[in-house]
Amino acid sequence: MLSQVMGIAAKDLRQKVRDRSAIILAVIAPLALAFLFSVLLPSSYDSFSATYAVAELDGGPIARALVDGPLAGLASSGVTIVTAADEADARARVADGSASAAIIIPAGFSDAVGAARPATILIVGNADAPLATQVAQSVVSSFASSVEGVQLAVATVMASGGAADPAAVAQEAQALAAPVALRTDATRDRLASSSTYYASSMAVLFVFFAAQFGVVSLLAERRAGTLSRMLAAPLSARTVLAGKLVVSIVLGCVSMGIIAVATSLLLGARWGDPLAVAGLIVTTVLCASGIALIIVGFSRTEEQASGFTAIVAMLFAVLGGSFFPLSQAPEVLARLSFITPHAWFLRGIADLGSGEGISIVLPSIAVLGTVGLVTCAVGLLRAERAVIPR
Amino acid sequence: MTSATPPPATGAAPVLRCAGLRKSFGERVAVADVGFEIASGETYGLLGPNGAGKTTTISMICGLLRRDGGEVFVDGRPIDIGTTTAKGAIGYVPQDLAIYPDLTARENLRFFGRLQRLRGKDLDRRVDEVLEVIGLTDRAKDRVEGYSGGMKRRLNIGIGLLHHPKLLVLDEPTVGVDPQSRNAILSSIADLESEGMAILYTTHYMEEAERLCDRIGIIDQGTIQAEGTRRELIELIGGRDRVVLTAGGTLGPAAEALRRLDGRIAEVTVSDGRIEVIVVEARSILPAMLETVASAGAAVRSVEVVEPDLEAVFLHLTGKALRD
Repeated sequence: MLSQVMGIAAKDLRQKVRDRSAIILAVIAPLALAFLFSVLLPSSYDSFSATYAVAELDGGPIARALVDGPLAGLASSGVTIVTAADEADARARVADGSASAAIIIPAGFSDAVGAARPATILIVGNADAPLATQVAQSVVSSFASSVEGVQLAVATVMASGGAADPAAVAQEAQALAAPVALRTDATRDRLASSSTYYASSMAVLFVFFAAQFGVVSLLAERRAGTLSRMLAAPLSARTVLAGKLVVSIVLGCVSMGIIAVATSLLLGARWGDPLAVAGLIVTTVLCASGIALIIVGFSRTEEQASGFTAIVAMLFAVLGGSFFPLSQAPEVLARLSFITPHAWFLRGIADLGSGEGISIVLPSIAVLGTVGLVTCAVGLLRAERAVIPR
Repeated sequence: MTSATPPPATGAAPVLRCAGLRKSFGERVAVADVGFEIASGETYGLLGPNGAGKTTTISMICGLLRRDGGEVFVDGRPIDIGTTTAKGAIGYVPQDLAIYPDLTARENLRFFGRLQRLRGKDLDRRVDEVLEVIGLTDRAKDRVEGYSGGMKRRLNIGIGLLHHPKLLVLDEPTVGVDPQSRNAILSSIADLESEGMAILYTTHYMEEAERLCDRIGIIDQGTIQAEGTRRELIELIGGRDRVVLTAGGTLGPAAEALRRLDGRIAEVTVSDGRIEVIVVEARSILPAMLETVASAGAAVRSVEVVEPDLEAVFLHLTGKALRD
């Protein structure tokens, strides 16, 4: 049986090599798009820049600790801090677009913290700069969490009759706030470089087209009569289906593999640990092949199957973050994206951007592998019922 | 009229035995109770018009179509939709060209040979042999898309021969083929029979059935209307030939001599310089008839033998012409 499966796969692959449209759609088109996007659409994460208008109206030590600590530390991450005279000035800068976000520290902030009373820092975001606003919010939230921890200690001291020293609180908060800067940097790293993002997103988008080339030929062979001729030989329908599935998997892996290598060499994309990338590619291809096989099982002609595949591939690509980073998407969409293989694959590639090995992408590989096996099984059953002549 | 399965003409164990085959598509009954046997070295023809049920019958025999009823045995082993190994005894040549135009003839043959579990040197040898048989050795490395229609047809048949099947099933293999290629194809098939292969041949061409087939099943509306050798079928409508001799001289003595010549001569009439003879198997007795007429003093100018053919049988059985 294995020899027959390989015979079918070898024959199909020979045909695909001769039919240049498969190579164009599986390799050249995604490479070209990844190149164009990387060159023409420089990403906000490669050249992240933002201007924060800071209205420090408190003058106390804790407010200074925020300004001089975490906020000042953002300068190395492409953030410019400008001082606003008051809240109105800060808001005006955001409104006229000269600032991406405003951070307003009200008067009495440090005293309130020192007295363990509620204290508020106001962030005003520019609707056109959601990522910059998100980063500002993240930095301030982290600082606030640190302050909260210190505040608890202060409250304990005061409850025991001691006195709280705001300068000491600030010092403590600043010390605890150190992870804020780390977290901000981590957010940036997680988004990966633009070339890596576009290379991986185009690879996962086009792998659906590459994978369909294998299984959709079932319908072409049925129309041409060669499927019946194959089935008249001493083999089972599942042998034929397995041969076609192998073609899809090989085409998908070759497509993504070439894109990974080529974009690494030509665009400087950093895909990460090769073993982990291979795991992500194989499991993603399995998903794409299984889904393509299910589509074939519900199609009557090659044209219909190609149309359905295009719809599903584009829908998944939009939903899964192939066209824009999910970090910039509404939370609902970001959550919904994880029904797509694209999101898990791109998440895996982004995780590898931190420099870690395969262990960090094991959850993504597990999800993709499970979905791939299930869709392949369902696709085989469906195609056996629907495509094989009865 | 009948779906009986008489013993094969050669008396050998049947390579193919099918009985009670039935298949409907929705309300339409495509095949209703078809059965026959084919022995080794025998060519059996399924003769019928388009839509008679020939291809559906073949599809069930090859395990390509789930049947509603009946049974199929090839080389003693049952065949059904899920059968794998036993299908190795069958060589299937579909009506439409089931070949890959973007591959060469050799690549086509190697691919289908691998599916037939041929390997290594056996595969190479058989591919070379088949290329020789179908006359494509010189074009073996060319892509099929550049072949003529006849060459494609020959390749289509060659693929069915690769694994030396015990039963070769040919579904209208000459449809759309030019006369020269058709003749070559029919000659090749006749050679296969002599090699001991059992052949099931479907056609709606009466001449092909008469030329190739040892026995013929006349099929219409999913039923075998009659079955037998050509002679047996023709006997269904009397089985006698009509010989028309145009001759000069006195024809009376010649007619009288013919009446005495052989018991197979049933009737002799003379009119307007012509002698008409009703005779069984005219071709076998024709030389003697001509000699007799000449000896009686008549000078024969032309001879016309009108034999009852399968077209007439089909017309007799179904009330319509084969090509209706």
